[in-house]
Amino acid sequence: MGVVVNTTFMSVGEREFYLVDVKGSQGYIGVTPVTPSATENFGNTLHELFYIADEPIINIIKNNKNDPFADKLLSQVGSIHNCSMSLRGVLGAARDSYSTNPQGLIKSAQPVLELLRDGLYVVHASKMIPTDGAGNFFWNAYSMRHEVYGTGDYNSVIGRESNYNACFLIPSCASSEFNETNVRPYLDKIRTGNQVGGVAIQLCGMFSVLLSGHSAATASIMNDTDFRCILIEPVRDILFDETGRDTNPEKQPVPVALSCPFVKIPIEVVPEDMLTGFLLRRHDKKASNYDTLKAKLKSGRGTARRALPQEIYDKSEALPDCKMLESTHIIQSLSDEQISALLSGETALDGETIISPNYYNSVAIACNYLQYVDFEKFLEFALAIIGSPDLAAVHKYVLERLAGIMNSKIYRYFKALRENPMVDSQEVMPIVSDYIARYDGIADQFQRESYSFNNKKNSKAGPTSISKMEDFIRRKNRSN
Amino acid sequence: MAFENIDGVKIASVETEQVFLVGDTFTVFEGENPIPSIYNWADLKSVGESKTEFSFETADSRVYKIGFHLIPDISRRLRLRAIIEGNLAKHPSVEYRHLKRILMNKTNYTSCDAPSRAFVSKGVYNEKEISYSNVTLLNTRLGKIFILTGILITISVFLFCFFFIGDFMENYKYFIPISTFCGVIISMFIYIACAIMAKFIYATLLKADSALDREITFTVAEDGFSAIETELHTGYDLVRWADVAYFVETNYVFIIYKDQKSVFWLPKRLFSKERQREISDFIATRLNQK
Repeated sequence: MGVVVNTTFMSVGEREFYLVDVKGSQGYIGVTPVTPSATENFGNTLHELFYIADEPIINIIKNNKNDPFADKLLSQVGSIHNCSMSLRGVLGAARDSYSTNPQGLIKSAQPVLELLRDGLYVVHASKMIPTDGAGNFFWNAYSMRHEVYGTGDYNSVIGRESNYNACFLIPSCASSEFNETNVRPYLDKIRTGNQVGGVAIQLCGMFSVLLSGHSAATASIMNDTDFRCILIEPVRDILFDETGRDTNPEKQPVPVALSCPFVKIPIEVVPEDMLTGFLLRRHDKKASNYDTLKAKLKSGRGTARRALPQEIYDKSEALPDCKMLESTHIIQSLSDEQISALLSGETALDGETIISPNYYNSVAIACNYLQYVDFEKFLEFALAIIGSPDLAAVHKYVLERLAGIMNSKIYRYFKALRENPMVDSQEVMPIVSDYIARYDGIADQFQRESYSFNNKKNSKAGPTSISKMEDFIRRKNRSN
Repeated sequence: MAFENIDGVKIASVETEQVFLVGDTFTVFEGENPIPSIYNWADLKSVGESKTEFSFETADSRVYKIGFHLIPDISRRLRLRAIIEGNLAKHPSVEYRHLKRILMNKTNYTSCDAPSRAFVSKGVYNEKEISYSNVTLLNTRLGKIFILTGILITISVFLFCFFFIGDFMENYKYFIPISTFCGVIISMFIYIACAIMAKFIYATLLKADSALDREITFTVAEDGFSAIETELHTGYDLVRWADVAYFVETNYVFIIYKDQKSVFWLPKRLFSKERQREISDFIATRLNQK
């Protein structure tokens, strides 16, 4: 019997999606648990592998397997480019079909769904952010294994019961496959008013693996246009109502919904056969080709990191990061009165909690939110926090947030702060001094290179613009 | 956790109007209610397997029972048992009760990579090797006691004869062989009684453990060992050597012990003589046993 894909359109709250049950599949795409061999000892570590056909793609490690909020270490260990042309063709066709006819989402997604492991999935369209959640373009951001913020199974800021978008990307194709020739047709399409898109599958937390559409994503970011994907989200969890368990640990939690990042589907609306299939399916089942995948993983081929055009890096940096998007789940707006209250060290205004009863969390989330919605306000807020000795508890977080942004206003403020320290020096000054040193170093380099260029060309170039210098400084800071 | 590759089992009970789904969770649909009760394994207080049913007691003291008559297919019953035990391995606080078995409880298994090199064979346990091995173990444990018992009986009979029957000097030629004969005979009766008990124990195990007459796949590898019903065997579930203590070799089987209890019985007839020697040396090396 071949693969059977049952689909039903659903709407929960304002969220519309297709609930899809896949049965009898060969399981060409999915996540398999990885277990230790005789010479390995994983201890308390959880190890998983995202694969496509016989190719291991993304290595996933969680250092504390019992912590549902722990972020994961990700690294790209393979490329879809090593998979068969026919499989890539299926994914490419789905991408193109969706781009041509966004209304025919499920029809475009059907061939891709047949490749997935047996399971229950939510399928919808989503705007994606082609970065690693930290301002780096996604395509070459995972060649070295590192902990990625926002990859926890649950997000401690957003909470278990809120919906969010798994909008940050992880590539399935090695960056060595980047080719400007492949990007150009998508640039042309966008410029002629056509849409480009992709196909992605949610992997962990706020992150999804892009199965098809890497060049399209590149073209979108170069053109400052939205990049929309068919997003397939595995339904993995059951949301329980644990009310009353604090006082009565024997009280049975009540199942309320099937959960994925995009939506929490009330149990009573899930078709019975889909619910039964979900409950019978073993979620830690090894892939049928596990031995092949493990052998390739152990051989440690990895992927080469390739440099991409500078413009892509610049534009990625300007996109919102994980923390900013998290904050939008907590705050819908922040008034000037509320900001003033926070600057006074308060967590409530007129008897109502502004963000959180915890001041540190309130400031952290406020910073992230303002940086997302209003950069100038964010700068004012952050610098005011730094300048206030009474708010020393949050200085380190705010400084770390500012330290990643090369900005002349921050630079001038820090210089003034260093000359007239108003705050406790121990935590603040090292970060301030380091920032100033970096900024000065890069600014000097910019001046030298501009001078050298002007002399060579014997041009009558005008005074160096601040924005050009700041662009240069940002790039250099990133590459350093 | 082990045995994650086994798909969940659905059992419907018409008389109680319940449908049970046993997989990564324990779920019960009752009557027409579309919303089931879903229990994480950690939320169970205890799980039990008797001769006739599985029982599940939840933290809020509800008890669910799945009678074996609802699962007439032995394969499904064994799958259900493997799923239960694989899940309970992650939750040792959940009490698990079951009858005595030859095959080791699957809570002892862990999931790992398939071993690259292993001694593997398949077969069915037979009564003779189990009974004989039980007796052999009995002899090992109780052999000295049998001998001591024989000597004590001999001495007792001799003393009885000395004090209560006839003149010693006239009859000592008869007292000695009579007491010796009594000592030997009674000891033999005790020994035979133990052997019959050992056989009885095997028969009881057979009735209690539906896995015992199934084909078992035996694996002895660098990572560990396993004795799993062939229909459930994937090669990815082993017991680690570090979790067991020592082994004993009889004429018919290798027996591995954990916490003074036998947990793994490997029939020697499944391997050639040469392989048997290799296996013996291999296990001894893994257990650092001379």
